[in-house]
Amino acid sequence: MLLACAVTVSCNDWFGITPDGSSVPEDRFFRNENAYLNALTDIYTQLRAESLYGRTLSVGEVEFMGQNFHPTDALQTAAASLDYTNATFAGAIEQTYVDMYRAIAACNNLIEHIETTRVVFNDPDRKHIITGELYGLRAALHFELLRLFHPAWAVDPDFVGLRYMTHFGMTVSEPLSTRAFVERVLADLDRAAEELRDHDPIFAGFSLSSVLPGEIDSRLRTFCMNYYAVRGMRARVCLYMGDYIQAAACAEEVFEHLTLVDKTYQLFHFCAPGEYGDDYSFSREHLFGVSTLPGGFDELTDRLYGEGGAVVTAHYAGLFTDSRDTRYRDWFDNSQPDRVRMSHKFGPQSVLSGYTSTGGSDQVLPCRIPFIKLGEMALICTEALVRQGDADAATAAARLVEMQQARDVTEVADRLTDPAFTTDQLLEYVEREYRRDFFGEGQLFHYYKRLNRTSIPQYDGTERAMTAADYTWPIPAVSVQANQL
Amino acid sequence: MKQIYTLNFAFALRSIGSLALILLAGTVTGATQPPAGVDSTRMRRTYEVEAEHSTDLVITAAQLRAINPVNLWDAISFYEPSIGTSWEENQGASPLYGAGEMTLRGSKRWGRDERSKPARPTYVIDGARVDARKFFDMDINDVRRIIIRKDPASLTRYGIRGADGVVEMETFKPVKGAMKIRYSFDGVVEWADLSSYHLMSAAEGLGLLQREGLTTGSAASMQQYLEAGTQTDWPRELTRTVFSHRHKITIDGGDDHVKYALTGRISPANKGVLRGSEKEILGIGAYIEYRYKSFRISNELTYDKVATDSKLFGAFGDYAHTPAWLEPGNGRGGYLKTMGFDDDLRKFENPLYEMSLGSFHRNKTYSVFDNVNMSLDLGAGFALGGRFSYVRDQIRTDTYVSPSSWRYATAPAGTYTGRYGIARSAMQTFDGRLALTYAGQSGRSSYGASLAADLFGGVYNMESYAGVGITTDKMGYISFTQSYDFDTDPYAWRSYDRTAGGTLEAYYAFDDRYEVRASARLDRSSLLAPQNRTALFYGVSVAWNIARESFLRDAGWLDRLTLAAAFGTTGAVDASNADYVVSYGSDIGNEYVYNYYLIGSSITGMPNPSLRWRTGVNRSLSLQAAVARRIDLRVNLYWNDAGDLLTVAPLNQATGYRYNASNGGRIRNSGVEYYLNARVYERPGFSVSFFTAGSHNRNRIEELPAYFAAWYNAGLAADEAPLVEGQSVNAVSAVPSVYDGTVERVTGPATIVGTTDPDLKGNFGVSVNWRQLTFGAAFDYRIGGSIFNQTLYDVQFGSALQTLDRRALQSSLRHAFEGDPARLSRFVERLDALNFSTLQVGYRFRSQLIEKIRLRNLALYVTGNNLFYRSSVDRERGTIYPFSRNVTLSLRATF
Repeated sequence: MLLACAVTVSCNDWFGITPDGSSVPEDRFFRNENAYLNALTDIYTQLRAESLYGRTLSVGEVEFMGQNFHPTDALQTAAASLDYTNATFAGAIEQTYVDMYRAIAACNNLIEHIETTRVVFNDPDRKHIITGELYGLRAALHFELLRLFHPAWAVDPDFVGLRYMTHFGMTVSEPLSTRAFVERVLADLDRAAEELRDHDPIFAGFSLSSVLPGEIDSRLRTFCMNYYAVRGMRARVCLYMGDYIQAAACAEEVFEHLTLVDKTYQLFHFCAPGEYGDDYSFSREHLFGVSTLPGGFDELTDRLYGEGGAVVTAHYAGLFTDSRDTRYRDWFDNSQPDRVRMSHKFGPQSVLSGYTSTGGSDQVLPCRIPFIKLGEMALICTEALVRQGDADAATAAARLVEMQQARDVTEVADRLTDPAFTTDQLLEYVEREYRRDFFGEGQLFHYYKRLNRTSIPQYDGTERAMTAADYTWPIPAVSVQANQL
Repeated sequence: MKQIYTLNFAFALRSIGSLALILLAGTVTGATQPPAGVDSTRMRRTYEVEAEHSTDLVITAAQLRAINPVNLWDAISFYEPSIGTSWEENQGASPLYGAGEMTLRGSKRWGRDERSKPARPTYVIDGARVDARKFFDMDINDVRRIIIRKDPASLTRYGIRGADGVVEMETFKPVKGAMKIRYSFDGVVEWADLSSYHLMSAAEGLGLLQREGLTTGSAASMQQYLEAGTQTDWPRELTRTVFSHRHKITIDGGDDHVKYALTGRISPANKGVLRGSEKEILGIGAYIEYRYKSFRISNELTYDKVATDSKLFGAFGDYAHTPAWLEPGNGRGGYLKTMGFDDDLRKFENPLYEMSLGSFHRNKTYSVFDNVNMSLDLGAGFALGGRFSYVRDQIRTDTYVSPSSWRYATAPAGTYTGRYGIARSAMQTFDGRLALTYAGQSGRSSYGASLAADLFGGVYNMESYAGVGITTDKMGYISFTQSYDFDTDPYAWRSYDRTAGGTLEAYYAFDDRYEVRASARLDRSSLLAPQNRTALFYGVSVAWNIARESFLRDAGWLDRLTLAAAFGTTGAVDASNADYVVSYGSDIGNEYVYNYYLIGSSITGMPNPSLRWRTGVNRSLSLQAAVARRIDLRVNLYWNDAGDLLTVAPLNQATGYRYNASNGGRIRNSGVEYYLNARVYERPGFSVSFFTAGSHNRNRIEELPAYFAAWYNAGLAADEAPLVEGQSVNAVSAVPSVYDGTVERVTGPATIVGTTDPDLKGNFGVSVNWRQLTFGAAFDYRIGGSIFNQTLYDVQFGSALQTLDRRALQSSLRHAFEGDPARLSRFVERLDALNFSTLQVGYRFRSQLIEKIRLRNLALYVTGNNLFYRSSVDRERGTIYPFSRNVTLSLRATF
């Protein structure tokens, strides 16, 4: 009988006791509301790994795939040549794949906990904000994988490849088609927007009142997946799948921040010339950017693009028609016209404007990695309105003109005075802005892929014919060899 | 749930007796009188039959004392040849390490796991589970018997604690009689065994430097050393000959109803052979037993305090290699802090100076142990037994590094010097068992069964923190520090062990000829994964006493000839909780937004909630023969498989992880053990006996998952051998090379060149009794197996700025080498060794002589231990703490 008592009656709590030491089991960890914020912060920290937005997906391989720079080493050459069979490049691709899914897995575990937790949050907004950011992140990270590993929507919307992971564990879900995958992304983005809509402090702009550790800092909203970043992502996804009406609507919604909040308290706005000081990456335009540590990202970009780094390719010549363009002046070292380098944009001298750190000896924050920018919203607006078909050039170009004004450029505004200016020609200017504004951010390749360009200008000056296979990263096979560690 | 908990606790407190243990676990808890109503002869026979045919090893107190009168570890590891390790250990005779690593019948885990968390057998004292440290700090005179459990059927009873073997200790219990006072005294003279150190002289060392075209720093400093002609013998400077003594008093007695015993032991300031080290033991104990009709209850309470202290923080081997040409004294009667001239390439720590400072490393262990046993005879063959034990150990370690220490000699001005670190750990365990047993007989058959339930709850924790900024040497306490040590964060952990289980056993014996036993064990434990919390084990053994068969029954010369076979499963837990459940850890340095204090807590890895325990499937066959009351021979054959080992298995990368912990692999240990005792010559008043034992174990990896092997072999440390299916887990790998007279170069990749498992390991000895005198000599030996000779490696690659082994003067052993230093195959040598373990002479005084001084018993022993050691490999032994030789004078008196 005692045997039965001791063994068969599941006295799970008694046997379920867990040890603690340098790590804490999750059931004990999530008993405190600050744990949720810590776990969420960790996901953002993972995003700045070199295999993710710290190099590969921003200034590194994907940027070289866009053919903006001359490659200087083997890995960059393989990326620029779109040689997915190269061992180093394939290794980098696999590392990106695993690390992205690890960030997604962390999101999933946290979502499971926060949805079912009985912990009462002191500030009810906090729970909604954290939940919203998690869904937003999950959708955004999955979408990033989609636009790398699946062929473009225009090519094959029924391609089956990636899995949409919504659960932390040893088993994986079934692979989905692009259509189904995008549906899941949109569902998560809508859920995120719902959570953040009434609770995100970004609607009030930033307040200068002091913040206690553990509270959500209104000044740092653009370091996190805030409401406008979620809407911006939705605009990007809708544009990707060809839903131009939704794309334009979401992109327009982002601009509401500029009218709702006073200029002094806006968390993002177009950086007018003379306003941004040493902030060469124009961080005030980011809807969401990933923070970096001193000596990390800025040193990396210095190595990549600074003295001894990569030189721009032939596309650069003639790209910036106006020498007053703030990007031309502040991002590039134009002293040697045949050896132009993008040494200032993310360089060590670039600091975030308007932020002073709360402690320590350094007063400013190192530059931030852009995830999604206001500039992209302007371009989505314009492109979507044109592709919808029922807008004229002037209405469609409104946001584009605003964006160029911030760059001290009047290119499209001047062209609009010409009554024969067609919307197709407007699209050419949109493409020019894509090339200019996203220099060094790893977005140009995705632009080509979305529009399924049959040939792209290669780094060596020639034109390269592109097939769907060239545009698509191969999904890594399950490593049974244990040689990728 | 709360109700169940209190119920379990209640029965545990209501301990009723341990008759079950007597019958089934084979442990006699001292009650030499079984409760009335049960046929004592039958019970005893059942127990004896079990002990006879199982492959467990029983070591009696007399046997222990004949080998080493003070050191329990040495005595036990002498007798059990299947214990691996002592030979290659570098811990030597360190008093700080009571227990070395012990593996019974071969290694059952991967090399890397063994190194990071060595598997140890379960140690049991009188049925209660204790730590290895406490087990070996027990006084050897308290030990009545040691039983080493290796038999497959015995290990089944231990469930998830059995796979690495069990070492049980039974302590002496008082017997009926008038009050007796026993006193035992041991005086030990001990000196260091430096026979393996053959270091160069200062002149030879300087000569080597010159030949190699190097200087100590400049030609001027070389000249000064040569002229000074100093010759410091560092190994001798750092070791000493010591005398230590230990005393123990026991007062015991009793009658049919009450028995009692009080013990006290003290071993004050036992110095170790390495200067600055010492150990002190203080212990008191009280035992009381009460019997009323068929009910018996006993309680034993002991309290022990063990304190160790050492002053040197480095390894002895490193200090021994300090250059012999350095003068430690400062010419004014003191010691130099740093040895070496200003322009020397390398300056050296002066261990003699360090020892003169206030630095120390002190460890104090306080241990309380309470063991309550009860038994109740219910009549008609039924009995109820119960036990409740409580162990509480508290360990406190204080480490003080003086600010005057050499470590701070080059610290920049303004940094905090001096460090005081405190580590506290504690363990507290509750252990209870209740058993119902039945023993019956009808005609020539006897049978029995038992059902037992036990509960174990343990809490273990450790905290450590350190402070820095002590201003002078004499202020050696944490209150004098100025801040926390920023280089070492405070560190703590807490872990729990809650295991409940039940055992069901049955046996049937016919005519003392045939016997069959079966047992089953169910364990439910917090150490196991949440989805696999319950483990089931079973075992069966059969025995056939051929000597009682009709055709051999009348052969007077054959006392016993038993053939036995056993099969059993058992288990062990190697994984930790982080392998089963998702855990979060913080990385303080990885802040998200610089200086905004947003720290992330990350998931430490993908857990596997259905991870299984390591299983052991053991099979054995044994033959025991007792011939002419003179010769006792036992031969055991065994085949043990360790399966479901901790491996890694690949995952789909979409989970976010490439692999996680999993079960797989299988290691087989197969071998033979033999034990022979022979009374060679016997005559009233004079007898000569000879004994020998040996074991051979073959370790082979039978199954090795490919992914795990590739993962393991990709991350090998310098001294690790790769895992290869078909090879041993203890393989030694090295790189072949060729020396052409001028330069040596590597000729191929690393391959497996041998294994550290010996071909044969064992002991032999002789004992002679002549009237009151006893004489014994015992040796232990090891044949075969390889070892990596670290000394030869140092001879080839070590820096000539230190004092090297004399073989560095031979150009065949030290010469130019192309490439980075590598573990060459010429450093791997076959190890054959012989150790003269014990030489003992004893004298027992005749009662007529001693009655006059009111002594009942008086015995005197002189024992010499480890007097010589010979091995085929010339390598330095005791590189962390030197080995020692000793002579002990022991006095055992009973008043």
